[in-house]
Amino acid sequence: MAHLDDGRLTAWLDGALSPESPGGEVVARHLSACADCRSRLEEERSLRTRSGEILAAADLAPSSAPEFAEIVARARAGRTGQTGPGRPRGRGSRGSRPASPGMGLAWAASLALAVGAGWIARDLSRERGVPLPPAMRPPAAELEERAVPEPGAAAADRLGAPRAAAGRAAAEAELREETAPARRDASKAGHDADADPVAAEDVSVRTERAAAPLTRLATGVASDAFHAPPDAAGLAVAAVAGHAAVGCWSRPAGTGVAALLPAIRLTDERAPTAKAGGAEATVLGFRVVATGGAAGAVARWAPFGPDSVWIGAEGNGTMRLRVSGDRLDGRMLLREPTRGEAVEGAAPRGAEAPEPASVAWRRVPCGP
Amino acid sequence: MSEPWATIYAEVWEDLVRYLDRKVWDPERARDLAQEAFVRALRADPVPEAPRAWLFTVAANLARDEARSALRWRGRLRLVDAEERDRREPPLPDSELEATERRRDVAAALDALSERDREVLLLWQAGLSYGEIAAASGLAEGAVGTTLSRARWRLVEAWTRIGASEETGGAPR
Repeated sequence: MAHLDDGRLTAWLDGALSPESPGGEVVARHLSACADCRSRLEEERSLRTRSGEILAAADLAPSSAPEFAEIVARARAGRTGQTGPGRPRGRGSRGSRPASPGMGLAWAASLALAVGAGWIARDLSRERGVPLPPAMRPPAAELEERAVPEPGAAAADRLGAPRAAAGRAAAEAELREETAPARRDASKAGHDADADPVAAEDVSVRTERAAAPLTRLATGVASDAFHAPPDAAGLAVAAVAGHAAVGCWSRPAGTGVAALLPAIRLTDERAPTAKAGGAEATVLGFRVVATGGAAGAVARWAPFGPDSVWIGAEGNGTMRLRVSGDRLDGRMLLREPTRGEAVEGAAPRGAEAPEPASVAWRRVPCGP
Repeated sequence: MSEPWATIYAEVWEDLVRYLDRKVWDPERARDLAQEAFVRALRADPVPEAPRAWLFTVAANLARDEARSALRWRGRLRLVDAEERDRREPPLPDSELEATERRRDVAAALDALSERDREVLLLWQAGLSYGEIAAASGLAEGAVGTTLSRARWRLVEAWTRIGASEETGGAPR
């Protein structure tokens, strides 16, 4: 006899198939005669229970609902409240211009890091790197296509080219330094870059203790998706002896959200593993980007070619970093949120992350 | 104007907030959006035929629009000194940390699902019937069972993967 498919078993389990209905009768009859389907029904039941438990793990303590009368009053008052959707808005992120000058809806910042030192900015828009397996191609291709309206691209170039010389020189100098003074030297590199007239914002170096939620990621436990807490703003570049990490965050403007980029630590041991096939990376931490004040966004990352890492943050932006020798080059795009763009891939394993206190952060301007 | 919404409100409020929280991952924001959804419900004329399904559809749209509009920055980004930020936001207590991490994991597991599967799963979790799920998600009612079965399986699978990766320090293939 033909067995019941999962869909019907589930519908039966969930009470969507009434025993009196013709469909329900068929199921009931079959179940009474078929032990296999009965046990599959129990499997569906435990799947249902398990998935309910998983979802419930995200529950917070409920708070009381507002009085219904309040909602009625609001509805009558004709105000839709302060929520984002009430405001007039454009559609889509491509091609539309923001109200204020100089801020595109999607912008690209090209940046590159030298391990243990300052940073170099370089425009990677024309670089595609090695050919990718088809599974990994779509997000990148999409990114490149959807990239950047005029203001963003122009800003990236502005950001990129003039800093390149200063940064590169600083980086090369840094590479010759001892690792111990790397932190101090990173600060020197930072000040050199500060002198660059294109550096528009405060750039400073300080030792920063990573926020507590980052600690877990910093202990070398990597997952291929993680959840970022809200945080402050700026673009941070961390230079740690032997490693490089970059994070970007932006202060939300009003209820808006900015960009999430994880801070990543790349090991300088690029021993290929069967899983990662190249660069290894450990997510060290991450910064803001919560939508409308949300507690965070989910980000994913995956190997992207033999020597690069792709990081996508749901709802915000993506960054692709390529390891090249001891440099880390990346391109970041901010775009509209889409789901399901994460590339399936193993989360590479990383060595133990350094103590957060030993990470030196530099703040650099973020965006045009 | 208030019926049937008054009854629905009492029954559905928590589920709606939770549903929205699974999308925006912010309980405050979820409450705001839930209120907004009800405000729109009260203004809907005539009252839609499947009111709960309609309500959740409106809520889903609000959450999605919010995510989009959040990208439209106004003005220049203002850099905040990290010290200043640390002063203002002391580190979370352990209990909150755990909750944050748990939520992070749930979000990651949900993210492993396709948009449709995720939506159907969340709607089921919110207490909607198959007919309502079909109405809210655009699926044929006959397809809801299959989608739910697959969604639950994928969620459990993703959760297991996440849990395993946290133990071993890397995601298993």
